[in-house]
Parts: sequence; structure tokens; C-alpha cells
Amino acid sequence: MLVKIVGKENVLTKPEDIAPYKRDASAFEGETPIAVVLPSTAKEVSEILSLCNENNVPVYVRGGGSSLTGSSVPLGGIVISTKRFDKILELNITDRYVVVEPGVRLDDLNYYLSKYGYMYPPDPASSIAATVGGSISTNAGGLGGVAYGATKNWVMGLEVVLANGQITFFGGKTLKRSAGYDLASLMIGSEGTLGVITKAILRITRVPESKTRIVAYYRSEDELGAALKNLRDSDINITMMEFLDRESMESVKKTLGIEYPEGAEYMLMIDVSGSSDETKRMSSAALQIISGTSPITFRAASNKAEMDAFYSARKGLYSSTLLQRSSPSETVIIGDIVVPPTEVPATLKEIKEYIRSHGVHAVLFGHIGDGNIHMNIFADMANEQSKQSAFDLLRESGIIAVKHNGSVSAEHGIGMEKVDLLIEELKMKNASVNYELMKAIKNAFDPKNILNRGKLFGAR
Amino acid sequence: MNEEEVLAYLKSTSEKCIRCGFCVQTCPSWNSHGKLEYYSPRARVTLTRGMLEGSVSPEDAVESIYSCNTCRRCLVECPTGVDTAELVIYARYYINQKLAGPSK
Repeated sequence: MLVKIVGKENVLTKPEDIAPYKRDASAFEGETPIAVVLPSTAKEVSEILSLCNENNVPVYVRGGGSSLTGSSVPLGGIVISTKRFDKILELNITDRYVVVEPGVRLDDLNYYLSKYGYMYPPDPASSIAATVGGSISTNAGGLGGVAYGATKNWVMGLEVVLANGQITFFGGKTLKRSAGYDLASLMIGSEGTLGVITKAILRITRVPESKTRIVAYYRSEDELGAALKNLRDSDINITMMEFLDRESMESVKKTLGIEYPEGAEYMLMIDVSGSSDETKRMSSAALQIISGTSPITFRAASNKAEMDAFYSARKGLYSSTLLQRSSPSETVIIGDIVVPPTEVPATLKEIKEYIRSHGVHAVLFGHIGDGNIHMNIFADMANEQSKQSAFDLLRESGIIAVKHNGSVSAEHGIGMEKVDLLIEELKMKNASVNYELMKAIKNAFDPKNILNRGKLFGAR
Repeated sequence: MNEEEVLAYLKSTSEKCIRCGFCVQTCPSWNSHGKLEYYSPRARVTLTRGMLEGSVSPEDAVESIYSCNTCRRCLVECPTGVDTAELVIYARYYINQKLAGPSK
């Protein structure tokens, strides 16, 4: 039947062809799907879903397969790959939108938009692999979150195929809309549990004319926090605000040769953007603010090469820390908590104290400007104790975040990894009813639970 | 390398992969084979690991392993420095030990 819908060449059933689809970038291994299907139109997706719904076959949608929480790992059923949905369909600069298919990779989209001086701001570190559909499904953020927010701020409309095969459209081509429930927003971060996205209308904005990068080093969380507060209290247009802890800086030093001053516990890196004149004025103001926050050293990059070198410390951090694994079998589990920016210093202190007292190997870094703290936790998955310690830290950091009015996930989603933490967060906020509401919404969209079964809600 | 060393190399190198997929779209072989995951560097590493663990047969991996043109574009993007081109060379040796030749 699937062959009839998409053609023989677009249905993979040989074990070797479907084996690579069993895993994504998370630590989870899925169950072999019956088939991988490669549709290219909403109509084909509609027919596939209709067939699967009728026969109660689970459907797992996969974009770039770069999920860090297992949200694209299949647990049997069939996989729908969006790789043939790879077209940019329309660009409207006047109305500030671009219409794309879900399999378009974020870097490819931004390369296309850059030719017109525009960009689609959500920029997860995995943008070379991540697709539009996947990043909408996880409400991805990225380094520009401090200025541009997350994916939810940039999606205007979505064509969606519902579990029963019905094709519909949420939102549209207008920025403003007040016409009933915002179902387009409901799709964002739903991790493929409510419908299959087959087209997206995305907001775009101009690439800033000019940018200056500044780095500063601090001895403590409080000093780092003071810089964060003073910079955020100013009128400076900050388009990136990242931090690295000492262990992260040490990794970068070992692998990229980027030095840091003695006594530094944290590195702060910011981008100031705007027109040339504005950037000049604002970077001068930023340097003045930073100088008043007791940094060990601080400076602005004097040229593009230096800007790139600073940036590589942050962008290359993932690989730098991975190269610090004590054995190849060691896995890195990535934490993804978020707190209000003012709560960052206290949150960092508590997590650091837990890491110290429990002897876990973990490094902290992230998008400090929007309160998003990442952790690379090293775990030998073959060693039960190491694995347990890593997941205990992941859980504890989530609880610390919620205590500080934050959340257990900022931009990676829940997937298979944080189902218990999501329930715990809602419990701590006296909002357990939300989980029931989510289940009711899921039931309204997908009564047979065929879409991404086993994710977000755990039990299959 | 003797056979034992090749096995150890294939194991340690394939274990370095974190399946992030940064390599996939850089691969000209993936691009020219309908962008199917089977022909991606990530799959070559996964299949090599599968062969060593016994979940994938050399016959099933052979086409993926032999479709790599060893250009090393994937290495440029790999956050853990997996040299898939080198891995593929040893994986071919491994497959040849198990099979008569490269064709199925």
C-alpha cells in the first residue's frame, strides 16, 4: 500500500536501509521500524497517515535526526522522512516571510536568505543538520535567543496533515491574527505528536549591518550575574550573550588553543549589533558597563579574524568537550534548563555545588542572556553507576531550575528523556492539570495515538 | 595493522560518533544517492558498529561502505573528529575478510 502511495523507490524496507533511522543524536536507541517512507507532497503524507491511522500503525517523523532527547527515534511503526520536502517555495520581502518545506535545513535556508540581506533567526548549534520541521517541533532556540527568542516567535503559519489524513492550515501570512485558538502555536514544540508539518510560513528579518563582539572573564557567578544584569538593563542591542565555565574554557584551550586568564571561572561573550554608527556607540557603552563589573580582563574583538576566534570558542565547545571524553564509549548527555536571567547566578551556584559534592563530570555553558544553561554531562552508558549519576544530575538541575521559576527544557524538548521531569515540573508548579490538558489535546488531534507514540507522554 | 588491531580501531572509531548528523549534508555520495541516510557518513559509522556487534551483516553494509569516495568533507564538520574516510578503508578490509569481494 505504501508503495502505491509514494512509489517503490520511496519505501525502504531492507534492514540495512532502515538501520540508520533507529537512532538520532540522543542516547536512546529505538526499535526497528517496519519501513521508512519518503513522501514529497502533503497529499502523499495524507494518504500514508490515513492508512496508518486505519491500521493503528505508529508514525515517527524524522528531519535531520539531530534530536538530543530522542524525539525522532522510532519505536517500531513507520518512519516518515521529510528529506524530499526540501524546497524553498516563496520569498516575500515586503511582507517579511518565506514559505518553505519542512525538510529544508536551517543553514541552507539562511544561506538562501542571506543573498537578500535577510535571515531566519532561530539558530540552534545543530543548524547544519537540523531542519525547519524538526526545529519547529522542538521549538528550537540558539545563540541569538537573547534578541530573537525561539522558533515560536518566527512561525506565522503551518500546513499540517492530521493523524486521520486530513490536510489543514494553521495561522497564515499575517503577523497579527486574533481569530480563535492559535493552533499554529500549539504545533510548535509539540514534537510531532499532533500532526505532520508539510509547509511552513516563517518570519524573516534583516541581517544587522554591523556587529561587535566583546569578551570578559569573571571570578564568580555573582560578578557574571552583575554583568548580565547591567547589560540587560541598558539600551544596548545585544544579539548574543553566551557563557562558558572554567571546565569549558579548559576544553577549548586544550583543543583550540584559546587561552583564558588565571583565576577565571567564567567567560562572558556578547555581540552588539545594529547600524555601523549604533554599533560603535553601543559597543563603547557595553565596554563601559563591563569595566564596572570587576572583570579579570575584557576586550572587544578588533577585527573579523578575532571575532571568529572568540566565536569558535563557543561554537566549538561541543566538539571540544566531546574530545575530553575519557573513553570513546562515554556518552555526553546534554542538559537544557532555563531560568529568568536574574536567577542565573544562584542557579549556577546550586548546580556547581551538586556537581562538586557528587563528583559528576560535567561542564556548563549556554545562552546566559535568555537564562538558558546547558550542561554536557559525561556518562559511560555501559557503567550503571556512571549512567545513574548523569541522569541524577540531569534531574536535579531540572528541579533547581523550576525552583528558580524556570523550566526543565528551554529548547531541546522532552522526547523520551524528560517525561518524568516534565511531570515533576508541573507538580512543583501546582499545575499537574496541565498534563491532563495536554493529553486531552493529544486525544483530540490523534485519538489512536499513532503520532510519535512514546514521546512527551512516555507510556505507549 | 593486524586483524585484531583493525577490529580495535573500527570499534573505538565508530564509538566516537555521537550521531549528530553534521556530516550528512556535506557528503557528495549521500547527495548523489537520493539523499538516503544509508549513503551518509553517519550511516557508514553506524553500520560498521553494527557489523562488529553482529546486528548488521557485511553484505548489508557493503554498498554503503563502498559508496564513500573518501573525500573527507565529513571530517571537517565532525564535532568528535571521526575520520569516516579512514574508517571506511578499514571497514572495507574487514568486509573483504568476511566476503569474497566488494560486490554483493
